[in-house]
Amino acid sequence: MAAQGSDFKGWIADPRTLALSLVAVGASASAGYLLLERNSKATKTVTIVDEKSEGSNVVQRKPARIYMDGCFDMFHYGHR
Amino acid sequence: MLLSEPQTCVINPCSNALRQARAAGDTLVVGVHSDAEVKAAKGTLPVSPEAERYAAVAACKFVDEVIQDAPYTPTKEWIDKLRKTYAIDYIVHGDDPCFNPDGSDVYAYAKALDMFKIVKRTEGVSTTDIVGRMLLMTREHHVRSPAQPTTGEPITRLRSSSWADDKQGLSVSDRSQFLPTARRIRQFASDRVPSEADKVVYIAGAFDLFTQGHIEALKQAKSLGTFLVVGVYDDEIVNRSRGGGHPIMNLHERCLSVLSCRYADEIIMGAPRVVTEDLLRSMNVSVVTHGTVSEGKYMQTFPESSQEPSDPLALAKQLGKFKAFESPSSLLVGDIIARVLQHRDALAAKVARKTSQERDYYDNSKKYVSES
Repeated sequence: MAAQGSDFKGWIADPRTLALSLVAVGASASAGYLLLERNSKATKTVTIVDEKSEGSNVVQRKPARIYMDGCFDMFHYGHR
Repeated sequence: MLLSEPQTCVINPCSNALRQARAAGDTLVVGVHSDAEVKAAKGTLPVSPEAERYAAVAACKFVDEVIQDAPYTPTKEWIDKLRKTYAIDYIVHGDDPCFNPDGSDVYAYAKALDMFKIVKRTEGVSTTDIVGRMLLMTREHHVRSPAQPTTGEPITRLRSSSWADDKQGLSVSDRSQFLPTARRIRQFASDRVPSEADKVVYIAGAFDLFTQGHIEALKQAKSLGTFLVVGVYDDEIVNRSRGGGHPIMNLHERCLSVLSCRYADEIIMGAPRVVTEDLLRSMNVSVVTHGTVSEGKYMQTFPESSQEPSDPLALAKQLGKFKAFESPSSLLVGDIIARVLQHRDALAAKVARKTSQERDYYDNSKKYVSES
């Protein structure tokens, strides 16, 4: 479980080093970053600016669509 | 049957789990199970009907889209549909294992597709504790009314653990505590500050058990302007008004519930009962509002505070800033508690079971998991 947790942390853009900003709708993704391009519906791209690196190190990727399910009742929270 | 793991939760579905799921990507699509689906899977109906649960999830500011009547078990067919119809990239679940009746991993297919990610199991107010708070309060009500705390005395809260101890012979310390860290508040708060052009609306209340009524009231309040400041009364004010064990949720818990609602732009943690000139000026408030349905007696003078104005909104009215709205929902905290009491026996058994499971979890399983 701990290993999965650390995997997950690596998978998400670390908010301390990466500033995420949404850019123009309709722009095409120029480079995949962290995520595979399997989102056929996506029309937006996400720009990731690595503030730690020199110069303009901007990559773009399609936005990731996340799914989570649940009952969302006060006593069935999270389900299972 | 799926393995039922002990769950801690915050009572408001718009919780830290949704916040984490949202932080895992760019768009969060939430599947909510129907009443029938929950009944089939768990044997009991949810306490809140599906219409309220759908609306509550949709009102959460971390949620972008809601899929109603999502299947309880994420079958291969459903996962394929999520990919193809809903363009889902990743399925996120808490870090508790989920198994099919044959012992196989529910998410094996999603994992094979490399589209499964976990988020930290939400640390929050435990279900057990909340049910216990309600049941205990009611029991107290039947046996004897607890003395009203007088001004200046600390408010004592009777914990569910004592209820569970008494009722079930369990000895469990109250360890599934909600920790209101500064970081958590910051994560839930909005960065937006009102501009000169914004029309700031102010509404105050207890917002206990954050119901559908509260959500709709905040939506109405927000529609009167462009920036909504929500004053959340402290526990003492709420208790002076409602007595008994109220509020069920304490100030910090209530504040996070309000902050997770998409209509609230800012809160005042521990708002004064009386709307003062200082409050109006410092928050640049244009409109002070209040719904027609409210179960607190905040609008009346408290006996022990006769030096306060009889109408806490007097100044706002005098300045022509007060505007009431017709409450869109009459769902009150009392209704929620009544629902819980209808299921009292079933929930009492569940509390006992969960208390035991949570004790085991805190004793044996709880480890630090970093969260997003």
